[in-house]
Amino acid sequence: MDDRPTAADLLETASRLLGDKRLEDLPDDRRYDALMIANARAIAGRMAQLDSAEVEKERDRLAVLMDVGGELESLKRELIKKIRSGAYDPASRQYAELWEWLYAVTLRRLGESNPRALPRR
Amino acid sequence: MGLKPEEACERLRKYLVEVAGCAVEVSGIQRLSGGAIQENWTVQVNVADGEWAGDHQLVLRKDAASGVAASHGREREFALLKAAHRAGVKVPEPCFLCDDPDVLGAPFFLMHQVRGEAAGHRLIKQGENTDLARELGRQLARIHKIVAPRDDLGFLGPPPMDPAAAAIERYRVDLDALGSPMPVLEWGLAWLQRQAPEPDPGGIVLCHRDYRTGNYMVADGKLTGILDWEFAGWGDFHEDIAWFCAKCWRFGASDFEAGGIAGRDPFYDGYCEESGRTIDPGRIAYWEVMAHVRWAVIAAQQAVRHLSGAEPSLELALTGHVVPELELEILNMTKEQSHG
Repeated sequence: MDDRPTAADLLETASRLLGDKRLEDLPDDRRYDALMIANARAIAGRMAQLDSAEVEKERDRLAVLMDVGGELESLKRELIKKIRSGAYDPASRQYAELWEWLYAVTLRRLGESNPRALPRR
Repeated sequence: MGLKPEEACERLRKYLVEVAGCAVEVSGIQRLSGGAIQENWTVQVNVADGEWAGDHQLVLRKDAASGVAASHGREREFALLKAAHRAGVKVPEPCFLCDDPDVLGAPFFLMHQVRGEAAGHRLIKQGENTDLARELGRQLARIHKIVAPRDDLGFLGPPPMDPAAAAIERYRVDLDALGSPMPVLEWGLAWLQRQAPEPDPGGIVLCHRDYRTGNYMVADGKLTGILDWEFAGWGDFHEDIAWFCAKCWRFGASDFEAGGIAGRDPFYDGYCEESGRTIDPGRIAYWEVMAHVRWAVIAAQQAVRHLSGAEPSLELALTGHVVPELELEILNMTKEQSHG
């Protein structure tokens, strides 16, 4: 499970907020709402395009790194226990690899949430 | 406030007559925007006689009807505001606290209204303002002159022996309560644990804990008041300086590292001149990582408030989408040389 509100949730909540009003009919003080709705719809659109194979690859890479099997959610739970215990401190063999994995996953999530904040290549 | 404005005015008038011991007129009560935990209203008050004689444009701050916060909320905030005002900090001058919920439905306090603009994205559009940054440094130094023990701030509890360790512990508890694993924030906390500075008992002061662009008012380019005292507590003075300068609070004006309004130098200079303290750049860098972790934890909590159904809100849902940007910054700040 992702920790962030999903595409379906964002679209539904945005629609509820907007109701049956048209954007151009909104008074000035609802402009902030309108901007939020536009942002939510853009994020939802990007999240809906997520290729499930990409997430599957993230899972496979993490499973190899941790040398355990299981669903992504359970792997992540195990991962945070190990990070807290110090198992992936700089002295560990997997330290650099884990940073790379976290960075790649974060770039993917940022690409959905706010692509303007992605680092310039 | 669950009451009609005329009824609220009348109840407030009767209360103020008792407090002031003379004739009082109350008029023009109006709700201000913002505030999920508290309601803010403006109100005009005329006091006929005594210490408070004259016309006053006031703000009434009261716990929201939904009652998310304990009734202690406004009482504690009033005590903090009074302590800051007495220390010479530019805050809206606090007037009266009413802890009797029967007057307006919940405890409330009155403070003088300060004029100006607070919205961060509008303030940074006004361009570089080194005088403002210097003044904000000075004001922060005044806040930090408040140190424990203080009978009037007893509700803050004892100061932490090790502020960094206490913060790491608190955010781990917060992450556990979220129910969804957040490995990057755990990574950041592990770094913070490894890199924690030696505790410095002389550096423990009253921290505002939300001292940043967006939480102070500016009129004609000058500071008019420091707002939002509800997160204040005892901590390392570097924490507030780092929170102010952290990249996540520059509203996109990344080159102006002091809150998006100026470089660090005038802000640091104002702070050091007023406090006589020396700022340790290493500790600032450390607390800036902590600032990103803290903001990410809060943003994730906001998303959960929405997702749990406790408070369905598009604004809260979108706040959850701030997290990856903060996580990327945390990863960039915490990459160490591997020696495994």
